Amino acid sequence: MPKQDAKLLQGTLDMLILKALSLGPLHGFGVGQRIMQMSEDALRVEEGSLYPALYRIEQQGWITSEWGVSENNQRAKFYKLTRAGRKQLQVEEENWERLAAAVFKVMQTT
Amino acid sequence: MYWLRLTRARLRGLVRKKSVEREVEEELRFHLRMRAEENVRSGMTPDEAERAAQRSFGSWARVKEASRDVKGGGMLETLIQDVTFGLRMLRKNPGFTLTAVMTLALGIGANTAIFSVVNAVLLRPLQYPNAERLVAVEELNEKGSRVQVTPANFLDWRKQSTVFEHLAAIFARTSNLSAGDESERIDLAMTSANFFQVFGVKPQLGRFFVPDEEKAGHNPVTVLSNGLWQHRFGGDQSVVGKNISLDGQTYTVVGVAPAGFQYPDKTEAWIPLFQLVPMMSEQQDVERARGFGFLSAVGLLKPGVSVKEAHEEMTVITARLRQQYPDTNNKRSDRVVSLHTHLVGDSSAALLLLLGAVALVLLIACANVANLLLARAASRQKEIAVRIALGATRLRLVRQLLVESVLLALAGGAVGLLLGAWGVELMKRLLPVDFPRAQGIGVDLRVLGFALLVSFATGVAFGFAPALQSTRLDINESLKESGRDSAGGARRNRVRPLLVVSEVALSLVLLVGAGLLFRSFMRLQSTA
Repeated sequence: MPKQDAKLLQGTLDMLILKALSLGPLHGFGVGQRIMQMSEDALRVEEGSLYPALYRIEQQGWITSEWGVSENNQRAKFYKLTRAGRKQLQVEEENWERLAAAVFKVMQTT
Repeated sequence: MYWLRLTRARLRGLVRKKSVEREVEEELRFHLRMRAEENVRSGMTPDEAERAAQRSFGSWARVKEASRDVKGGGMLETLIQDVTFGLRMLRKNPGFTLTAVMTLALGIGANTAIFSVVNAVLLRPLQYPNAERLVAVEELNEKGSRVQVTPANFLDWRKQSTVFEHLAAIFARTSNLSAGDESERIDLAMTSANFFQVFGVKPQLGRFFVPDEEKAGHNPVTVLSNGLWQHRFGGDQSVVGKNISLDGQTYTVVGVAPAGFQYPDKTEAWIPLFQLVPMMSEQQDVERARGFGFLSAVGLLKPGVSVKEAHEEMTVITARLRQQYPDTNNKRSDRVVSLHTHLVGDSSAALLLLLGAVALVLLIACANVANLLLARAASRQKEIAVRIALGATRLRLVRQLLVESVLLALAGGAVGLLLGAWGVELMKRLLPVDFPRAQGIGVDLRVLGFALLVSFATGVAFGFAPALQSTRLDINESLKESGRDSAGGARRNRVRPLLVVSEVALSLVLLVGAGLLFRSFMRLQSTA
């Protein structure tokens, strides 16, 4: 896969994770589940890209993590959106809308 | 901010690599359990569920690897890898390593030693409260060389000038001090009463001179240096009011100078000037003598007055004095310079010359080591070819080689620092006794920083060309050659003759320079 595509996908995944966490703290598994629910099962996030993405975003300072207890009483790491993350999500949403609208226009042209 | 955070996170990842890894693993295991539970809910047997979960997770190792890449050291981790590998390479070739390290140590050591002197003499600011406003007024003869100031001129300067807050005169000499039944030779300074105000220091004990004390006929008084007070009077608080004898004359101690204050260098006691000036016949009035100079003048500029403005005013005053006293003053001129310049004077040119000379020595050392590295590069050609074939980028290889040479240079720097510290002691003994600010010479933080910087720069300097050279190769060629590197070597070794040529050129420059330096030192010796 050319690098360009990977980058686009990665950026999109970051945005989806931020969006999922904007509704409240979640553990890694929950992030995947929520993205799936929100997309009505259309988007399935590969674990192989989910965790690296989470760690990357955490290092950017957009999310923070904390060990806690999951709904089934197990030790799990929970991720939470930071203020910087909320701002980043806004930026990425705007960019995405602009991109989507542009792509849509292109595809509309007959 | 972002970089700071990232670096911190990476450092943490590095330091607690084990625990971070364990955390990642625990998190991933939790994920697997959740996935398996979900699978059970959708109707699988626990066993199936587990296997399906494992499968859907893809390669467990790959995920961990990817996570580690983000979490772990990144650049820093590869740097540490480079360093460990470099150390191993250096240990594998002890002969080469020893030769290179010793060569560099000599170069870096010489530089460190000379720099310690430059640092203490030229770079370190004067340690007085108003250091930047301190100046010296120098009197020059018709040839432009410094001569001593005559007392009468000094008094006129002090009367007529407006740029100085204080202008003081100093006559430095040695004297025979006796207190109790012991006597010793000390450096003594006779000064005008305002001398201590120029430097803005406060007495440790008692007081300094009052204006009347510089008048002839006043009671003889003295101020002791802190060192003299400590070693002759054991720091006795009641020393003020006691009598000491200088050259057979009795003086009353009125005060003790603060620790560390010794101006001129090594002075142990101060007495007021003008009340007793030696060597002048009694009939001659010191305050009128214009032909016979024995003073130096230091001044504290008024705030906001620049050295240049002071110099301009003094030029006007001197011109006036020249007209007034054509017999004695017509050839004299003077200049105002910062006290630092005054103290360091001509030694700065000599020191910078020396620094240049040792820099050349270091360059030669660099060329030598670069040559060694190139020779060794031929034998490492296969290793490098294999690594390129395995997908190492050229940048990565160059960095690896540079890390090796910087390691060499740092080792050389460490040994060089030892050599340098020893060299400093040697220099201190070899320098002329009256060399300015010599007692402050030593290895301090700045010298350490200098040595580190020089080592680092040296490593990059001698490592760069060989690193570029040895990574620029045709993989197919060198793999096919498999060890017979005669043909390929000839093409790549174009740099080596260049190095030899530059080495010879540098040595020649150094030789000529050293010869000239030696001659001018000889000339200085003969005039002294």
